[in-house]
Amino acid sequence: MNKITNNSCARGEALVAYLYGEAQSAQASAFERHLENCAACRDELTAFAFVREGVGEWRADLLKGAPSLSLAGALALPSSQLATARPERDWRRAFAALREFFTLSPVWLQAGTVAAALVICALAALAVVRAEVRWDESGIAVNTHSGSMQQRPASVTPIPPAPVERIYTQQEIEQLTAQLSAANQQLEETRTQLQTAQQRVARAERQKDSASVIRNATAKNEPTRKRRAPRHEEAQLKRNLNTDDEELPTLLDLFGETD
Amino acid sequence: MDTATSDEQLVERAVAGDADAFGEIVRRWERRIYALAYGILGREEDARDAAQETFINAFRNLSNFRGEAKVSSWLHRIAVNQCITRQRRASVRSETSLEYEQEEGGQQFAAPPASSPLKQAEGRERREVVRKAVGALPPELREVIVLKEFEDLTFQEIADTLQIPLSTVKSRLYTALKQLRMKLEKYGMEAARV
Repeated sequence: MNKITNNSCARGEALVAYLYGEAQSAQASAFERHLENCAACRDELTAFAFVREGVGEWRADLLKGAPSLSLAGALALPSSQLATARPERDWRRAFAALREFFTLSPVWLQAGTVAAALVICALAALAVVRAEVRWDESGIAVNTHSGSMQQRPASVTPIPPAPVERIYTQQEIEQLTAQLSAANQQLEETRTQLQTAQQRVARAERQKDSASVIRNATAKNEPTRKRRAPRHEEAQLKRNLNTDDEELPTLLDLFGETD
Repeated sequence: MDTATSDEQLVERAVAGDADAFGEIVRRWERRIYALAYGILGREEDARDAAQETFINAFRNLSNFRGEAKVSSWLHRIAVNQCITRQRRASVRSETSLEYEQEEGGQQFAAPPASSPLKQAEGRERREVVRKAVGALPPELREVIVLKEFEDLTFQEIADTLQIPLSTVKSRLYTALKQLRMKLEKYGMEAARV
């Protein structure tokens, strides 16, 4: 490569130096004198100038279309942070490293890696194709057909059963309605009894007050003598009060025993 | 940032902790570094990544910049090293990056605005032919032709950047030009048939 060949006059280095203007003045003058008598070097010099012109045009367009690297922001970071500011994504670098490792590996290692990858892929594909997945109340069941059915508990929390609304029959509805009516009726009777009892108590209170007034009046007329009501008056009073003996206090209880 | 500020002054400020100073360096050089990377690698995505890595590496090594060389040469050296590393990876795969780009349609170039549609088409075709021809060069020839034609480095700067003898730079340049001429003629570039 270092040997310049295919130049009939073997002046390649001088030609290049002259072409790029790096020849010393004496060498440049000597080469110009040579050019006057060497058609091959003249032809080559012209052709090389044309090549340079084409490369220069390409470079100019390349500079016009060169993108900004958007590195100013990353480089403004402290150097400690810059160490982590990688221009490539991690996965791309990882893939490139893997590719480089693979290409730099010997052929036997490449072949072995490919074979192992194919076997793994084939086994995985076979397992996927033959796998049977079932999900029932007992959990998830996976069957790879490599043995007995393997069961494992469901990894998800079992969903509690939704509350089911009981459906009553017409007969049950009628029975319940009858029970409800009976309960209402009993409640009404109890309420009536309560009102009756309250009325009786109120009446007894009034009679008590009346008896007290009568006793006071009698005491005024016969201040020195205690008087016992005749028994027929007591019975008459009971009838007027229309009360049972068990429920109401007797007049004796109300007035006290008299001698 | 003042445009009169030199690159070296910007580096000094960046070393002193002025992050905006290095941002200005990026803005000044990002397009040229990208073009350089694209010229060598021939693929837009690789060129963008290489250019980004170039500036990140430069930022990390700011303290190592001694000012003995120009900032541009320093950046070029980092960029070329990035490209060479990527080329070696690609050569392990026995693939040339420009062939990838060719399959994907290549980079779309902007046409000169004041030319006729016919001239635009001719110019586009010519640039595409040049791009393919450069991409078909062996990596070691592509590096020297791009560094010379894109960055206008001297023979000695190219030798320093690539760490090869000066005579090797000249011989590779001559061989690259010769192969480019042949490829352009093969692609039907009439003006090359002088």
